Amino acid sequence: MAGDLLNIQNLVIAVNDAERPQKIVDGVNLTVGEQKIVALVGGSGSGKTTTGLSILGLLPMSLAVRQGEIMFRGENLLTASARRLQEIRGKEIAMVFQEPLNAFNPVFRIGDQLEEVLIIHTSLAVQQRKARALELLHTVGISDPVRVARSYPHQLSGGMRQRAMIAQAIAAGPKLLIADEPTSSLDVTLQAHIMELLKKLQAELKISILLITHDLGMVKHMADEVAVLFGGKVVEYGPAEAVVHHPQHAFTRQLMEAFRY
Amino acid sequence: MTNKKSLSQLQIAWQNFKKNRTAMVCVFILGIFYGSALFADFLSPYSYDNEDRNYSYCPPMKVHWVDAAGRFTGPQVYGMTLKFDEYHKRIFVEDNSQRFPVRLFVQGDPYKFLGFIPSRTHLFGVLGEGRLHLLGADTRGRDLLSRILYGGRISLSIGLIGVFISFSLGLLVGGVAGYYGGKIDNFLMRFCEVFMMVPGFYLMLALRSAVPDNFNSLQIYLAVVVILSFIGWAGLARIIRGMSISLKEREYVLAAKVMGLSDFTIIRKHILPHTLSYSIVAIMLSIPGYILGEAALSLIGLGIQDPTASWGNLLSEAMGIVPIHFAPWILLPGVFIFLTVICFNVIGDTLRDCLDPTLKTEGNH
Repeated sequence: MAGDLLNIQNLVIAVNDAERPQKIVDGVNLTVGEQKIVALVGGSGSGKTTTGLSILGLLPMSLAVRQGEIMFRGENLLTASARRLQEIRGKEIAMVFQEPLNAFNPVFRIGDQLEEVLIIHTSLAVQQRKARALELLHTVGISDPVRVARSYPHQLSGGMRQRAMIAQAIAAGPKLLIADEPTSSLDVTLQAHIMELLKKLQAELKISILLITHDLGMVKHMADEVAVLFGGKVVEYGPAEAVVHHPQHAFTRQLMEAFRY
Repeated sequence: MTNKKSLSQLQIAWQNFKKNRTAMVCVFILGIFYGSALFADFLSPYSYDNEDRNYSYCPPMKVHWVDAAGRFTGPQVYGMTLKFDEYHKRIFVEDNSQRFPVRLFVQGDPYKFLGFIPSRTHLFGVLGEGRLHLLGADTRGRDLLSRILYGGRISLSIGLIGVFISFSLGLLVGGVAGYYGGKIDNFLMRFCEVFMMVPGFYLMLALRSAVPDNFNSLQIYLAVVVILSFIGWAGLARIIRGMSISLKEREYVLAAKVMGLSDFTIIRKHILPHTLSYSIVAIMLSIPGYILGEAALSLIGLGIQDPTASWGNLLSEAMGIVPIHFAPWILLPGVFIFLTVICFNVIGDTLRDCLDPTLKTEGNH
C-alpha cells in the first residue's frame, strides 16, 4: 500500500540448515503506517524479535530469510545492498533494546556513545555535537543531562539508562523506531513512564513505532494496531481496541488471562 | 551515586601495581635504561666508533681521587702502558707519571643532541691526551660504556617498535577473523598457522637471507625490526580472534550495528578495546622476545653490523674463549640484556595480576 512506512509481506525466516529448515517466522504480514504505533505481541520464541531484526538485516548467521519482502518507503530492504542497509540503520530505522545495560558499551561514557551516532549520520561540528547530545538527553526527560552524559552506563539507574538508550535511538532522526521489549527489564512504575515517553516522542517527532512486547495490557494504551504472533504465524491482526477487548484466538485470550493478575 | 571520584579500571590497576615493590624497582631500572639510551650521545664520553688501537682490550680503569702523597686531587685517570707478563700475556699497567683529570661537561666528539641540536659537550670526559674506559675497551680500543649506551638505543627500541608492528597486525587480523567468522576466519587462521608452524629462529634466518646485503645500517635496523615482527603476530592474532568471537555476541555490538556503524568501526571501538587488559600484559611479556631476537641475530652476525653498536653484536666479540678469558668485561652487554628481559617479565607478570584479578597467582604479593 502506498503511504505505508513499512510493509512486510509473507515473510518466512528459517534455520539455516538444509536438512531441518525449521521455520521461525512463517508467513508474517504486517503494515506500519506513518505516525502509527503497531504492537507485535507474542510469547517467548514466537518470532517477534527475529522479525524485528530481519527488518534491519541483522539476523544471526544461523537464520535466513526464505521468502517475502520488507518494503520500507518503497524500497525492498531484503534486496538492498549492505552499504544501503548500513545507511538506513540508525538514520531511518532505529532500535531500542530490552536491556540497556547490555546494549551500551560498558567502557565508554553515555555522551560519547550518543555522539557516535551523530558522527556517523550527521555532519555536525564537535561543539554542536556535544550540545545536540545534551539536548537529546533533555528531550527524553533527563533533568541533568550534563552529569548523565559524563557517566558510564553502570553508574545510571535502569530507568535513566533506558531513557539514554531511547535518546541514542532518536539521535539521527529516524522515521521508524523498533522497540524490542523496551520495558521488560524495568519495574512497573518505570514501565509506565517509559511508555509515556515513547508515546510523547512519537507524537512530537512524527515517527512510527513497532513495539515488540508480550504485555497486552500495555498495548491497549499504546498501540493503534496489534499483531499477535504465535509459533511464527500472525494469528490475530487488527485495531488495538478490537483485539484486546474481543480476542478471537485462543492464544490471545491466554495472553490476556496472564495479565489479569 | 557516590560523590567520591570513581577510578577507571586502569587507575585501579596502577594503584595495585604501585604497591608491588619489585615491579616498581623494575620500572625504575627500565626507566634508567631507556633514559640513558635516549641521551646516549650526551652521557657517553665517546662516540660509538671512536677508537684508539693502543687501548685494545684495555681493562676497566680506576678513577683516582688522591695522589701518591694522599692529597685530594679530584678525579683522575692514569695513562696506560702495554707490557707483557712472564707468560707473554699482554697486560696494561697504570703509568703514574701520566695523569689526566676527569671533568664534567667536557668537549668531545660532535653529535646532534636529540637528533637536531649540534653539540660537542659530553656529561663527563677526560682532558688532555688520556682516554677514559670505565667499563674497559673492546678489541679496537673503543669505549665499552659508550658502546653499551649507544647499543641500548637499538636493542631497546627494537623491542618497542617490533611489538608495535606485530600487535597492530595481530589485533587487526585477530579482530577481523573473529568478527566476520566463516571463510575469512578460516583463511586468516590457516595463514597464521603457516607462520606458527615454522620454528621462529629458522623463519628469522630465512627472512634475513631474503634481505639484500648492501643495506646501510638504518635499513638493516628496519629490516631486523620487520623480520622480528613477523614472528610474533600470528600467536597473538589467534588469541585475539578467540576473544573477538565471544565479544561480538555482546548486545552492544548488535546495538552498534543497529546504529549503522561500519564493521571496521565496530571492531575498532567495540571489540578491540575489550581485549586491552590482555594485550597490555601480552605486550610486556613479548618485548623481551624481540630484544633477545635482535641479540641472537646480531650475535651470529646477521643483525646490526659493526661499527653500529647493539647489545647483540657487542656480545658477538665474546663468542671465543680467548677474548672472554683475557677480557671478561666484554660480557657486560649480556648483563644489560639480562636485566632488561627480567624487568619486562616481572612488570608483565605484575600487570597481569593487577589487570585481571581472576588470574591472580598465589603468593605473589
